Amino acid sequence: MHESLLAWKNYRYLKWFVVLFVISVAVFVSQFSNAAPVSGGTWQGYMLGTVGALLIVLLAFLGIRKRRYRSRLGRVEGWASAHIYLGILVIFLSAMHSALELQSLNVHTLAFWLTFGVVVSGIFGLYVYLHVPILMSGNQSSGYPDLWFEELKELDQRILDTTAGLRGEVVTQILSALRGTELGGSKADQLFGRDRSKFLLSPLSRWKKNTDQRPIIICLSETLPVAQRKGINAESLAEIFEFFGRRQQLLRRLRKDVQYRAILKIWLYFHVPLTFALLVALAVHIFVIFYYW
Amino acid sequence: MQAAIKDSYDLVIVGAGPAGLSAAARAAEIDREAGLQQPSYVLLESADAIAQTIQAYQVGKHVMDEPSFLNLRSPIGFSAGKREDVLMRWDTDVDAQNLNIRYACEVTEVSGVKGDFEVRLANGGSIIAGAVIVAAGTQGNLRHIGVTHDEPSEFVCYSLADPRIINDKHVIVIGAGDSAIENALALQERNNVYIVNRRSEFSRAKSGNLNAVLGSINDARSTLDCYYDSSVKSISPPERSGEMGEVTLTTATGEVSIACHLVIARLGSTPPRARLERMGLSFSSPLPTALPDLDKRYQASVPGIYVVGGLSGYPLIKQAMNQGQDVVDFIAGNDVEPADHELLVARLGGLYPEKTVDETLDFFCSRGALFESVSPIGFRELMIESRLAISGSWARGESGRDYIDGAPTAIAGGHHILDAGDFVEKFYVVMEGNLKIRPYPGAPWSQVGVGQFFGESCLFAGRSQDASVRMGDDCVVIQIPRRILIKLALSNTAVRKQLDDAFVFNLLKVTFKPKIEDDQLRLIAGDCPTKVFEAGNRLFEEGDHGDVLYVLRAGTVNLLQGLQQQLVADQYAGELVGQLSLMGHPRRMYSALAMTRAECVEIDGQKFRALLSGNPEIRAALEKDLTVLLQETNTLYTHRASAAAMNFLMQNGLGEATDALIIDSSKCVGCDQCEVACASTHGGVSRLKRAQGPSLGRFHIPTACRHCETPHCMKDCPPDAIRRTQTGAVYIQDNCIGCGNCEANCPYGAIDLVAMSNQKNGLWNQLVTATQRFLPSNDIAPQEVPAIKLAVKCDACTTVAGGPACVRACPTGAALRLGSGELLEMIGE
Ligand SMILES: Cc1cc2nc3c(=O)[nH]c(=O)nc-3n(C[C@H](O)[C@H](O)[C@H](O)COP(=O)(O)OP(=O)(O)OC[C@H]3O[C@@H](n4cnc5c(N)ncnc54)[C@H](O)[C@@H]3O)c2cc1C
Ligand code: HEM
Ligand code: SF4
Ligand code: SF4
Repeated sequence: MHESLLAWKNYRYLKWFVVLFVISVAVFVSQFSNAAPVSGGTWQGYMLGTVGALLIVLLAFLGIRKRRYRSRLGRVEGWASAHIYLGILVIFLSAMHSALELQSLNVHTLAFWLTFGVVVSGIFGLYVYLHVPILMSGNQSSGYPDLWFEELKELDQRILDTTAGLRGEVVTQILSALRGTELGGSKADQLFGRDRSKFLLSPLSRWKKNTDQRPIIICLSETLPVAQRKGINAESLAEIFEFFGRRQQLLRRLRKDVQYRAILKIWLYFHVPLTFALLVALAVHIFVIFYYW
Repeated sequence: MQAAIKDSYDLVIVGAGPAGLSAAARAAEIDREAGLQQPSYVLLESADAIAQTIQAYQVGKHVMDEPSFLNLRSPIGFSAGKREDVLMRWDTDVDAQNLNIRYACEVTEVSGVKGDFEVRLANGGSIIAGAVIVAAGTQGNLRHIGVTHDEPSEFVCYSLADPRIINDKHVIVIGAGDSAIENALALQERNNVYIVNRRSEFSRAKSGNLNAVLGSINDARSTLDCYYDSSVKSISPPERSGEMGEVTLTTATGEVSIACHLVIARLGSTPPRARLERMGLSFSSPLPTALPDLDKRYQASVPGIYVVGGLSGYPLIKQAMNQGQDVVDFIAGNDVEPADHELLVARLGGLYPEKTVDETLDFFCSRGALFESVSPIGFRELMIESRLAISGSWARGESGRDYIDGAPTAIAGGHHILDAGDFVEKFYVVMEGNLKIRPYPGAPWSQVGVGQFFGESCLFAGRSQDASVRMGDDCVVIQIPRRILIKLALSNTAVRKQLDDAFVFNLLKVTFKPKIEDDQLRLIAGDCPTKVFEAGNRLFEEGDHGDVLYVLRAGTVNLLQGLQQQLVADQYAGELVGQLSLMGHPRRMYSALAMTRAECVEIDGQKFRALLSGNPEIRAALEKDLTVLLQETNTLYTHRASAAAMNFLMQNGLGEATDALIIDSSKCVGCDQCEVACASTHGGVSRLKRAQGPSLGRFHIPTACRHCETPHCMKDCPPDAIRRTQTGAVYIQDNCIGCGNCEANCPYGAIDLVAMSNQKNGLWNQLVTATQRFLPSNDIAPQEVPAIKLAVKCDACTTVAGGPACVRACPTGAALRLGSGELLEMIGE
C-alpha cells in the first residue's frame, strides 16, 4: 500500500510513457531525412499532432470518469496514474509536432501555450498531491478539524463563563478577541494562511490586529501581574490566559489545515479552466488547418 | 368501560400489549358468540394505558408491520403507520369492543393449578382464574422508586414519550442511566431540571451522554443540576393537578426538599424471567435470555398457563397479535391452525404426503440428537425461518414447487453449497441422505449423514472458514440461518453443548490433521471447558507456569512480550494459543490479551502431551507450526513502530473487522471523492464519514462499518433485518423498522438513522433514476409528519457491480479496505 499513484501496477504507465516517448522521438527524427522542412505539416507532424490531440481528449475525459461512480472502467487511481504520464508525454508531442515554431501568436501557438499551461499546472498539482497530504497528516497527529472546532467552541464558552466574573477593560479585550477571531477568509487568505483576527484594547479604541492571537496574549500577560492591585480577579484571569494559550494552538492547527486544503485545490482552478480553453483552441486549430488545406 | 368487578374469571390475561389486547378481544368475541352478559375474562395492565412498549417508542415513530409475509389475525386492527395512529386505533377498538381491562393492576405472582389459579396483584388484591395468558412483553417491569405515592400518576411517571410538551416546569429526573440522562438533557432546554443520582458519578452512561450531562451540570448557566449520592426519601404529590408537589431527598449532607411539577423516574427494569419462574414455569437454559418452555399451543410447563408475544420469543407486533388470538382459540378448544400454518406447509413443501405438518416437525425433531431438547414451539419458529434444500428423488415430481415463497429449493447432487473462504451464514442439518464435506483444502471428502450437521465452526467466530460442502444425492437438508441457531443455542444449553463438542472435535481434527483417531479425539474434545475472557482480560501472563492450551473459538487474542508489552502476534478464531508451554517450555513466553470478547476452549496439558507421546507425526507437525509462529513474533518484536500502530488499530476495532475502510493519510488529498462515490451509489446518503474517526501516523480510520466478525449491530434487531452475505458483508434489509437498536449497539458509530421518504420507487423510477427507494429528506420541516427513519450503513457495495465505490473512486489510492488478517502484513511494510 506504500507506493504512490506514480507506481500504479508496477509503474505500468511509466513503461507506456517510455515506449511512446521513444517511438515519437524516432518518428520526429525521421523527418530530418525529408526534403521538406520539419513542421506540423509533414506526415510525421500530422501523426504526432493526431496522437497528441487524441491524448488530450483522453486526459480531459478523466474529469468525466472521476464522476462516474458506478463506472467499472478501472479505478480512478489507475486513470490518474495514466493521466500523469500521458499528460507529460503530451507536452513533448506538442513540442515535436509544432517543431517549436512559436514565434507569432495565433490560434495554433495559443493551443500550444494552453497545453503548456495545463501541463505545468498538472505537474504542480502532482507535486502538491504527493507532498501536502504528509504535511497535513502530520498537522493532524492529534485529532482532526471537526474535533478542534468542537474544542474551540468549548474553550470559547469557558472563556465567556470565566469572563463573567471580571470587570474593566480586560473584559472588552477578551470578548473582542473572541469576536474578532477570523479563520478562513478569502481564497488568498486561506492559501497564504493569513490571519485577519483583531481585537479592541478598550471599548472606544479602534480594532487592532490580533495575528496568531499573539497581541491579546501579550496584553493579558501584562495585565495579569497587576491584576490583584487593580481589583481584577487574578485567578480567573490566569485561567483565561491559559485558555487563550490553548486557543492559539488550536487556531494555528486549524489555519494550517485550511491552508493545506487550499493548496490541494488551488491548482485545479488553473488546470481545469485551462483544459477547457485548450479543448476549444485545439478544435479551432484543427478546424483551421483543414479548412485552409 | 370497566365492567363490574368480580374476582373470578375463566381467563386472566396479563399485559395489555399487542398480544394481550388481541387475546382479550378474541375472548370478548367468543363471549359475545356465546351470548354471555358478564365477561369471562379480564385483561390486567400494570400501567394506566395500553401497550406500554409501544407508548415508549419515540414520538412520531413509524411502526412497521413486518413480517410482510404473515397475515394479521386479530379482532384488533393493525397496519403500518405512525405510533400515535396505531395507538389511537387500538384505543378505539378497545372502546368499541368494550374490552374488560383493569389498569394499574400489576401481576406479581400466579399460584395454584389449572382451573384454580390465584393471580396476585401488586396492589394487594387477587383474582381467581381458570387459565392465565401471560403477555407481559420482554421490556420487564419498570423499577419503581419504592416510597409511598410512587405509582404512575400525573405527578410521577416512568417514561417520557415527548419532552417537547413539557415547558417552564420544575422537573426532577431520578436515575443515572442513559435514559435518565437523555430525558434530563432534553427537558433542560425549556425547564428547570434536577437529576438525582444515587452514586457520586455517572458510571453507567454512554460516553456521549456522559460528556453532555457533565457539561450541562458544570455549566453555571444551564438549567440542569445534579444531586449526587442522593436518594428519594418521600414524595408528596400536589393538592391540585397542575400545582407543585414536593420531593424529599436524602443526600450526603442531609435532607433536601424540592418543589416540582413532575417527577420522572428512569430506574431500568427487572427482567421478566424471575417473575415467570415464580409462577413455576421452567426454562431450557440458565441464561437470562432463555425462553420459557412452551408446547405447540403456547402452553408452559405449568398446565393452564400460556405465554405469548415477545415473551414467547416472537419479537414483532403482528406475531404477538396473531398468537394472542390463536391462544384464546386453543384454550376455548377450537382447534384452529396457527397463523403461520400456511407458511410451514410451504416450507415443508409436501415432502412427506402421509404426514401432517406437526408430524413432519416431530419427525425432523427426532432425527439426530441436536433437536431432542428443543420445544415444539421453538422448532416451529426455527423451521419458519429456515429453508429446506432437496436433491434427487425428493426434488422430482412436484413441478412448480419453487414458485411458492419459501418452498424447498432443489439443488443438484454434487453442486457446491460452500467453498473454502466463504463466510457461513447458514447451518446445515441433514434429514435425509448425505452432504459431502471436505474440512480443509486438500483433505479427503467425507460425509455428513442423517441427524448430523455442519456449520458449527463459524457459528460464534463469524470468520470465513476452510471447508467445502457439496450437496449429496437424494438428500433433504434444513438450512438454518446462523442468527436463528445462535438464538437457539443461547437459550438452550443442550443444543449449545452439542455444538461446542462438535466444534472442538472438528477443530482438533483440522489442527491435528487426520493423524489422530476420531475416538481418541472425541475423548479429548468431550470434556473441554469453554472459558470466556472479556476484552482487556488476559488468558495468561508472560513468565507464568502454564499447563493449558487454548483453542480460540471466537474473538482475537494478542500476544505481548517484554516490559513494554510489545505486540508480537495476533491470533484469531480457530487458532491455538499457549502451545509453547506445552511443548516442554514450562514458562509462558508471552502474555495473551483478549482484544475482543474471546471464547476459548481449554485443553488440559497432560492430556495434550499424552496425545503427542503416541504420535511422533503430530508432534513434528505442531513443532513446525510453532517455528513459523516464532519467526513471525520475532519479526514484529524487532519492529517497534509497527507494534504501536497495531495496538492503535486493535483498539479501534480492526481486530474484529473483516472488511474495514482505512485511509492512508499520507496520500489522502481530502477530495472527498470516496464519500461522494458512496453517496451516489447509495441513494444519496454516504455511509462513511471520511473526516471523522481516529488517526495514528499514516493510519486514519474513518467512521464506517468494519463488518465485524460477530457484528454487535445484529444482536438485537426485532425484524432481523441485519444480514450477512457469504462474503462477509453486513447489510441492512428493507424490512428495517427504525428502532435504533443497531445504532446504539455499534461501538464504532457506523450506523445512522436517516429520514427516508417512505414511498417505494416504482419500476419506472428504479429504471430511470437507478436510485434506491431511499431519498435523504433533510429538508423536511420538523413540524411536518416525520419521515420514516431507517438505519443505514455501509454494505461493502454488495449491490454495486465492481466492488467498493469508495476505493475505486479514490484518485490517489489512499482509501483501502482491509480484513483483520491483512493488518499484520500491512504494518510489517
Ligand atoms: C424501540 C422499538 C421499536 C420497535 N418497533 C417495532 C415495529 O416497528 N414493528 C413491530 O412489529 N415491532 C416493533 N418492535 C417490537 C414490538 O414492540 C414488540 O414485538 C411488541 O411490543 C411485543 O408485544 P407484547 O404484547 O408481547 O408485549 P408488550 O408490547 O411489551 O406489552 C406488554 C404489556 O404488559 C404490561 N405488563 C408487563 N408486566 C406486567 C405485569 N406484571 N402485570 C400487568 N401488566 C404487565 C406492560 O406494561 C405492557 O403494556 C419494536 C420494539 C422496540 C423496543
Ligand atoms: C494536456 C494535458 C492535460 C489535460 C487535458 C488534463 C486535464 C485534466 C482534467 C480535465 C482533470 C480533471 C479535474 C477534475 O475534474 O477535478 C485533471 C486532473 C488532474 N490532472 Fe490533468 N490534464 C493534463 C495534464 C496533466 C499533467 C501533465 C499532470 C501531472 C503531471 C496532470 C495531473 C493531474 C492531476 C494530479 C489531476 C487530479 C486527479 C484527481 O484529483 O482526480 N494533468 N486533468
Ligand atoms: S455496523 Fe458496527 S457493529 Fe455492525 S458490523 Fe459494522 S462496525 Fe460492526
Ligand atoms: S477519495 Fe481518497 S484522496 Fe479523496 S478524500 Fe477519499 S481517501 Fe482521501
